[in-house]
Parts: sequence; C-alpha cells; structure tokens
Amino acid sequence: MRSVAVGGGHLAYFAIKALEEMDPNGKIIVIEFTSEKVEMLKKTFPFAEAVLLSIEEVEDYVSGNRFLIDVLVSATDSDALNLRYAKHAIKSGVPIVIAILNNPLNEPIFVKEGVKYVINPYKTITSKIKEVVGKFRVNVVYEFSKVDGGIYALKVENSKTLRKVKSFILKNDSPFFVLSADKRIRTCSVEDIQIGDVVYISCHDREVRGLLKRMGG
Amino acid sequence: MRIALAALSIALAIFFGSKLGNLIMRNLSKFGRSFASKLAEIVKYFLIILGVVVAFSILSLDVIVLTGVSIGIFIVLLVSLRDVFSNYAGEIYLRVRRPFDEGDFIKIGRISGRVVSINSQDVELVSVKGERIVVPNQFFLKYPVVNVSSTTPSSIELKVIFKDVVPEEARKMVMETLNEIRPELFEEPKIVSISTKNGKTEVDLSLSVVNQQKTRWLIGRLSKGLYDRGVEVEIE
Amino acid sequence: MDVSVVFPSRNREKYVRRAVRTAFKARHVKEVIVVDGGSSDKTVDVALKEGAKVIVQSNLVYPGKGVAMRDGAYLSSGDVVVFVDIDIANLTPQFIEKLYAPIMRGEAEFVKGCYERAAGRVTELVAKPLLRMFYPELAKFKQPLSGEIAGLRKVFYQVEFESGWGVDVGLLIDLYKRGVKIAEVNLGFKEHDMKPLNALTDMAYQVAEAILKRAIRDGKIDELWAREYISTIGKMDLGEVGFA
Repeated sequence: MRSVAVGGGHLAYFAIKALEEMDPNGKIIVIEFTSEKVEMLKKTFPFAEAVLLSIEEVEDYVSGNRFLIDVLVSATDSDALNLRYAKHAIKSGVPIVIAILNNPLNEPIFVKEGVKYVINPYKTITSKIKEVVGKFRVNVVYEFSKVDGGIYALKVENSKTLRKVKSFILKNDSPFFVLSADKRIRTCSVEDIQIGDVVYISCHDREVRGLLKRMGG
Repeated sequence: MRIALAALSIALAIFFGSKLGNLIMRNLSKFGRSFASKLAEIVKYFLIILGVVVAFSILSLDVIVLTGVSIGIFIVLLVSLRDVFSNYAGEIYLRVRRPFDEGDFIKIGRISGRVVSINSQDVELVSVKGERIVVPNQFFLKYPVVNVSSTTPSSIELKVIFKDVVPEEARKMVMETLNEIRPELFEEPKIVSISTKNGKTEVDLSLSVVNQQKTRWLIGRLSKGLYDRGVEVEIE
Repeated sequence: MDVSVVFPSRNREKYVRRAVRTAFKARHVKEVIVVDGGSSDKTVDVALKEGAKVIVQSNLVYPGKGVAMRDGAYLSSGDVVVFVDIDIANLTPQFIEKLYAPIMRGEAEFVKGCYERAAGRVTELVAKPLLRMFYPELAKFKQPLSGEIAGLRKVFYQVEFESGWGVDVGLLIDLYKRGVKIAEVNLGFKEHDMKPLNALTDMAYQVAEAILKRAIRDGKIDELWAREYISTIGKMDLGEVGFA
C-alpha cells in the first residue's frame, strides 16, 4: 500500500518504521520542508522516497494523489500543521488518516475536528508510571483506535473493591485476566479473584466509565 | 405617539432579533459556523418582519391585507422553494444527528462514495471510480444511509481477457505486471483462476486495496503493463 | 483577500471573550484563532464558545510565544495573518484593521505595528543598539519588538520562528533579508500591562541572541570569534570592583 508520512523528525521516525514493518513491499513517501532534512531522510530510510515540498505544496500533493494514497500520517513538529494536513487528507478521501500529537492537550481538539485516529504518545507515560510504582486503583493500560474501549487495570485493594469488580465483570461479561501479587499471570473464574490481585479487564468505554468514576479513576 | 410606538416596536424587534441571533451563533457554532450564522439570520429577519407587522397594526394600517399578502407570498415561496427548504432541513439533520462525517464512505440507495463535503443544500461524494456525485440533503431525510466507513482493505475482483494468448503465457505476463503494481496493494495479489472460453484466455484476479478509489488507476496500470508486453486486453 | 486573526494566549480568560468578538467585527476577518499556551483557566472554553478556532501550542515551553505564533500561522487559512496580543484593554476592530490596511492596499507584504506609549526598555537598551550595529536599515523601526504584526500568509511560511522572545525581531530581520516589502503603522495608544524589570532579563537575552545569531549567519560577525566568546561568557571571572 502507499503510505505518506509528513514530517521526518522524532515522531515520524517511529511511524515510518511501523509502516515499513507492516508492509515491506509497500511504497512509503516521506515529505519534509528543507533539503537538509530530505538528505538526512534518504540516509535514514533508504526504503522510502523522500520528497521536498513547501508547507503549502503538501496539500496540493495530497489532493493530486488522493486516489492513490492509502495511509497518511501527519507527524510534523507542529500540531497546527498536523491538524491542517489531517483535515485536508480526510476531505480528499484518503481512507486512513493518522495524526501524531506533539502536545497531548490537543487530543480533544483533533477529535472534535473530525480526525478519528489521533496518536497521543504521552499516554504511555502515565500508565507506565502507575504500573511501575503500583500505587493506583485504576490504570488505563491501552485504548483501542477503532473501537471505543480498551484494556483497564483495576487494583483490588479491599473487599469493597473486590465486590465491585466481580459484579462489573459478571454484569458485562467482560473478558479478563489477573496479575496476582506473586507476579503470576493467570486466567480464572470470577470467584477466584482475590484481594491484592490486579485485574485486567477489556471492555467498551461506556461500560467502564461508571466503574472508573466509583473507583476514583 | 403612535408613530413613536411603531418605531419602538421595530427597534425592539431589531434589538431582540440581533440578541437572539448572537445567542444562536454562540450555541450552535459547534455544528458549523456558516450553518449557525444562516439560522441566526433567518431568526433575526423573522423577528424584524414581526416587528414591522406589529408597527403596522399600531398605526392602524390595514393589517389584514398586509397579513394576507404576507401569507400568500410565504405560501408561494414555500411551494416554489420547497426543495430548497427541504435541503436546508436535511442539513440541520446531518449537522445535529451526524450519521456520517467528511471522509466517511457511505451508501444511499444505489449511490456510494466517500464524503468530500457536507453543504447547505447537498452532500458531495467521490465514487470509487473517481466520479463526483452531488446528493441533495433532502434524500438523507427520506432514505436510509449506510455508513460503511472502513479502514480495512477491500477486494477488487478483475477479469483480464486475452485474445490469442495461451494460459501459461497469460499467467506469466499477469504476474510480471502485478509485481510492478504490488507496492500499491495491501497484500500479495491472487490469481484466482485461469480458463479458456470461446478461444480467449480469462484470468480472474483478486486485488486487495485500502483506497477503493485506486480501482480505476489499477485497471489503467494493468492495461498499460500488459500493453507494454505486447498484448491488448479487456479488463472487467 | 481574507484575514485570519491569531491571538497567542495563556491564562487570559478575562480578555478572551472581548478580544475574539472584537476581532470578528474587523473587516475581511474570516477566522479568529486562539493559540493556547496550556492555560489552567477557562481561556480555551471561552474562546471556543465565541466561535474561535483553538489549538494548544505544540510545545509547552516558556516563553513559547514563537511556538504559538508559528502554530497560529500554520493553522490559518486566510490570505493575511494578523497577530495581536489578547490582553490589550483598548482593542477595537479599527486597531486590528490598521495593521493589515497597507497589505490590502498592496503597499506592503509584512507590517509592524507601533504605538504611542513609553518606549520599551528592552527595545531601547538592547534591540535598537544591536540593530544599529548590524542591521542599520532596520534601526528606523520605532518598535522592532512589537508583537502586533500582519503579513501575507505565504510570507510567514518562508521563515523559521524563534521559540521565545526573539521571535518578533527574528521575523523582522529574516523577512527583510528575503526582500519582503515591510511597513510600520502607528496603531495609536495601546493599553497593556508592562512586565516588571526582573522579568525582562530573559527577554533581553533572547532578543540579543536572535539578533546576534542572524548577524553571524549573515557574515556580520566573525563566526569563530563569536562562538568562542559566547561559549565562555558564562565562565568569565568578572573580578571585583576595586579602587583605582
């Protein structure tokens, strides 16, 4: 498939690597705005085509190639530019448009503007710190991109929380597994969940929101 | 005195019309600024007309005739511009209910395509063949619309028909050409079957693409690739 | 030609409503953009309610004025982009219109606003002396550090934005070097809180840095000497004040 990445910096690096990994036989085009950066990209990504365009030419490029581009990733160091390019690509009919955020505070703005796939690389910071330190009630471990839901870690500290978690799982028939205090990863029945376990539940966002609120998440 | 009251009535109508318009702008801008400003204008002018009617009645002018003429003009406008009003109502429905957004792929009746823009009178789509389709908004009030937005790839089934080419040769040429267009596909292309019919060799292909608008380009590229190899084909 | 008005802003909840409404009243304005610097108050909510486009600046650095201006320029879609401080107490549509009037008349491609107020300290003590030394053609500008600027959008895309306080003078020098037609307009009186003296040290340093960097780039200072000098400046033993 034909993938276009706008930006060749820090954020784009990982996006381009992922695209190449997914489809080694595909066509990857990376757009940058200065000739020095384009030369650098040619060395860093020999499998990709590095293209020099001005800020305004990118939109014309996308419009002109809208029947061919399968994926567009906007990963410049400016969220304003990423939003602009993402909206233009969506309007041009590019099927998969992904924007990578520099500032996580822009996530609701991107979503409101109709950009469905927004990557906030900083969400991992919060969940990892909570996981490592271990002092949490609720931890959002992963959020799905195409479905409103994810994987949530719930720490069972006392009998009250244990009751809430068990009742939630039974009511919503949510799949789950447990990381017990002795660091065993296990699947078990709801009855076998114990105080001290961390329960990883996968469910829809709307199902878990009430529980997260009650548990102080 | 009456003149002053009539003037006051019009002034109040303009004042409240303006205030209500601003309120509508502030609260409905989230559905689109131009949409909100149009609605604000309509409400503002409606209130002004109301103010004028009240002013006329204060001045004891023949309100009945004025009202009758107004209603008559309104009915004529309603009848002659009913499609315009229906399309506008359709826009309100699309903005508030949001059955789809720009960039989504939708089907309505036999029409399908990717949404380019949602306008006050119509929705502009682009079909998989790259054709621009304009659908009046009132259709979305009458017919079900299916939002088939999907980022998963879809299959394009093509039949390449060769004249005077043996199946083995046809397979070889098709494979070589497919290798050239492989970077544009989501997965490895598949030759589903090769058969001969009425002296012609038919090769059935299955190509996986994410961007459905690529179909036309792929067909063109396939034809060119085979033409460069010395054969003319039909592709269905 | 249509106009985008950009307000870089941080914790300016009490000014936003008025500023956005005033900007929309100016002629040819098609959009108002508020670039937020990570406000902890209701700046963003108020701006959205008033119909402004809002984006949070890409990097939450302080001072991030240049980052905010760059993001505002990138997000805008008008032919002309105008940057105005959001907390000007006497802001009017005419104030804003004056800024881009020369561009509308075809007389300029980039406009600096100046105003009748006490001269800025960093302007008089740092910017103007350095500009006289290295860019005397620009020393005539009354307020080279003025944050009220307007320009054709395409002009802003030709240059890099400094991230901090040096952004305004950096833009002036870079656009001048590119041969862009520049004008200065008197905007009248600006009611605006001035920074206390202790907040000006960083500003002075960044303004000086922006000018000196460009002077090196343009060959007006020997680069090797400048790098050696700048790298050792922090380690200099200034000694003590002695008696002759």
